[in-house]
Amino acid sequence: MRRRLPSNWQTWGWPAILAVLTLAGLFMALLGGGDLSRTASWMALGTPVAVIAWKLYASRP
Amino acid sequence: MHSWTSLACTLFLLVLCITGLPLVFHEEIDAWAAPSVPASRQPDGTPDAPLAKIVASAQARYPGQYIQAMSWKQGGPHTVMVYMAKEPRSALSGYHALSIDARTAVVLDEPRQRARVTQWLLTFHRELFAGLPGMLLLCVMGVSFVVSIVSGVLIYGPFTQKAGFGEIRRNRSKRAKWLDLHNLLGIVLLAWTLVVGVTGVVNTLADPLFAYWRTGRLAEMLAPWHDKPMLVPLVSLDTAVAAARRAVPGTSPESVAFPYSAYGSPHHYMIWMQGETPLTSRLLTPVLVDAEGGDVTDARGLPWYLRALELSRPLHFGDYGGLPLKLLWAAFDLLTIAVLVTGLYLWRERRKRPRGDGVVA
Repeated sequence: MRRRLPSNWQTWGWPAILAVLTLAGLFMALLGGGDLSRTASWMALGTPVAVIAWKLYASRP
Repeated sequence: MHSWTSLACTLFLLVLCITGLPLVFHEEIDAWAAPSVPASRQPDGTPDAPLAKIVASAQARYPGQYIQAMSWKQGGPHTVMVYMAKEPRSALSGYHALSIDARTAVVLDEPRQRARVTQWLLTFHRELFAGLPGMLLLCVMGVSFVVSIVSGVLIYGPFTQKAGFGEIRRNRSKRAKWLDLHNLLGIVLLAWTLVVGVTGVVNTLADPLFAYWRTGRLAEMLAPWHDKPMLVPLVSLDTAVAAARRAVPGTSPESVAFPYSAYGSPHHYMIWMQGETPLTSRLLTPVLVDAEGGDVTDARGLPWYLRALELSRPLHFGDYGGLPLKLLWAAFDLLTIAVLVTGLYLWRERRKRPRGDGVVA
């Protein structure tokens, strides 16, 4: 059975979201300075790391 | 293009990632390896001592030596670092530091600036122990890294037509699994690697950019005093700093180059003013205060290329968001090493295959 090709969104959606989150995380702590912007920065930058951990976990044999 | 640009820089990138990892925690390592004497406990609201008193303390410790610079950034809380040398206009290698309590003006310590291990790692990371040629080589490698990231994005789409985002096909060949892992890590880390790569390139140009500014705009600012001899300051540092604060409202001094410093003006206090936020505390404004009359003679912001350099430093080192940000930076660094290693593996495997036997991915 032929596999359906993923759509543009399936290919680029997650990478685009993660790139935006990473950039937001990098700049929030730099432009802000308060506890709120720091915490938001950690959460935003933690998302790509969490996604990698999740994907590796999900692909266990 | 992705293969060749990656291959060109992979070895250097591995070295930079490995040496950069402990440098993320250089403050913690320095504090552990070369602990500094903390400032004395004082009641809340105790004001700082007059700067003239701090200058006098340093001079009393080393009579006959010359104060080259003072920094509020390098020491711990409520401490001021004073840098002295036996000769005026001394090179940085001739400096030695005094840590002084900002509120009592008592000399606390004569610390090394950094632990030996972090200094060694920083020099290796910055210039490969090769000075300017080393920095320029790393600049070329950084550009190659950025091109390899961009070319990697261009080929990411066709590859993921065969496997969706982040899918690692365990039931396929070992090579296909490593390819999927390389794609997953590479695309998820894309923005971080691009930012750290571009800011790394900018950082390699720090010395030439500062030299260009010194010989250009700074020389122009100091032109009226060009032929005048070095001045023994007649104006107190307190008066000079107060004038600088008035010239650039909302800022505080980050450091001062005295007239005896080779990195300032022989006729001025060169006071580097900083803002209060994580960003503005890194965007410095040099204020020239006449050490004879106490007037501000110039206070213009740095040109765009030095602003870009100032902005690129925190975004390269990740030292602006507390320990959690450093831990995330370390995780990104380790994952980037994984991208490099998987890339090397894929390249080696492809070399083993006969031509025409494409990737079955």
